[in-house]
Amino acid sequence: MGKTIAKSSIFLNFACVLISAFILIPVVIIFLTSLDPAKYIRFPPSGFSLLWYEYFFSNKVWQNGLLNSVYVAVLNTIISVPCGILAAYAYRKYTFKLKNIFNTIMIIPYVTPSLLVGIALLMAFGRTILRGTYFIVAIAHALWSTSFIYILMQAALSNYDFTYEEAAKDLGANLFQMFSEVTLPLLKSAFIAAILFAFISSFGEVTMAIFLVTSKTVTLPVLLWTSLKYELHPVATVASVICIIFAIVIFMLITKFFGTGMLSKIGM
Amino acid sequence: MKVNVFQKHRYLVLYLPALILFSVFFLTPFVLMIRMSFFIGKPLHCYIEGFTIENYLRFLRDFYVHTRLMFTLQLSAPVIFLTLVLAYIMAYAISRSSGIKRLILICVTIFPIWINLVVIAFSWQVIFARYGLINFFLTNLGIIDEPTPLGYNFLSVVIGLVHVCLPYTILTLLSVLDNIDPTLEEAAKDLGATKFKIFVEVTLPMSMPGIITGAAFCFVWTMSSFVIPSFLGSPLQKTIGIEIANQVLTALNWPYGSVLSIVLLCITSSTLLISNILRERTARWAKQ
Repeated sequence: MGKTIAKSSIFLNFACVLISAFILIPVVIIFLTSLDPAKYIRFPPSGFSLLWYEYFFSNKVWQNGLLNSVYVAVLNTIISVPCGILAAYAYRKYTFKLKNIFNTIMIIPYVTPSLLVGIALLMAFGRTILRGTYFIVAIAHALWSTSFIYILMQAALSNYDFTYEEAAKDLGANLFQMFSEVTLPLLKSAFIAAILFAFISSFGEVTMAIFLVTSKTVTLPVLLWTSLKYELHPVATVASVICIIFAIVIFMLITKFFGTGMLSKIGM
Repeated sequence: MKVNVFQKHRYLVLYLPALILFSVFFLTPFVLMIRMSFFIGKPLHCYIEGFTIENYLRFLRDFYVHTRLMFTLQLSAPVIFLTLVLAYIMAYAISRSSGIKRLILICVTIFPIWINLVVIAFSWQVIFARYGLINFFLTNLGIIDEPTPLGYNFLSVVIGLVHVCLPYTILTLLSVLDNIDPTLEEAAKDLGATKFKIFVEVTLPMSMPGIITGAAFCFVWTMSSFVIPSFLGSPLQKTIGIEIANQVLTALNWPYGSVLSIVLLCITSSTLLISNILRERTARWAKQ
């Protein structure tokens, strides 16, 4: 009996290593090729240099792309974090008749294909003053992001004890005091995680952004998209690595503040 | 009186920012899209205001779009199958492990979610390229003499899409597998069931809700995929998503693009709706 268990777990471990490799190999490959000074992208790299990193950081177009991505991501965070958190808070704290309907409405943008959301926004606002603003790109991201934060915060708030707030109120605290002295300290790590999630999901978003950016507001992933459509320039590997580094740093911060337990709630 | 309403419906105040955001920037654009689908489509002119059902009639007789729709449906089958198999193995392994091993496996799973699609597509291009990773190994091991380009075909699109779908599907399956009561498997073991029998008759049926949801999401993502197939596929692998983007961005025929978008939206939302009903049914059935 013990033998069969050991046997099957060896198979399982082996399969796990293979699947992990499948998930991680593309990232490793991009990182290695970005250090190749050659003019053409090839594997294995012909040498080691930071040539294309220098090129990336001295090029105005790529710099702008990076900055635009940060602007959009920050704007998206400002919009989506309060929306998502407040709604999740209401869901956990109050009981009301239409709770299920509200819940469904909140999740719809999360499950609607971003291709279609991007197109709908382009058609609705592509000929208004919102065209070519950071705002419209950030709003597109905020739809998805708000839903996402709502789902996450629901999970985070399921362990939250609302009686502490009641106690503070009974002791004479006003709404602001209650929030700053009770709610904020208790939910600090969840709030930080929400901010990080909002930032990174917007920073890497490309499908909606393709439809909504103009040459002035083009974000890094869209710049990567357009440059790769026309030529395979090695600087694209550097841009990719920068996207990956952002993802890794934020991911590490999220695991630090939030723990992986909550992270596994992302699945539907 | 007004204060009273807010006192009574405090939840509404808290939901309000999100509801305003969604109604102005989500619901309104989709309603406008329905109106757009009845405008007169003129290539390169975006649209001309008016009313016509010509765009819908064009969809019914547009053979090329039908083939793209069929192709995307065909594409979704291997993507769903491969993703489910790989995701199930990984999720099963995570649910059966604890401590640092579980932590590492979850991190590996989740981390690619925030790497953007272009980067993922691009790295697979480098792997499949004539002077890429796979050719490097194949030529060095002497399996082939000359490097040949491996990308830009059906298989490379499938692999790219599986890579994108995998993290979410693993998490969906994991949340189901984590909730299976381990005493049930113990009980089956005590009754003399073999490991294989336990898996087929206990674990697999119990995880059916997760499998249904996972499959539905893989289907929706493949149907609406656009970035991955346009990088990893040849013109033969044009998905309906690419064709829609084409109508909107290149052909500049917004009314026809709207019609195609609405068709795709109907396909994806009905899939999710049906999968939700199935999920609840199987969840109830699994409990019994």
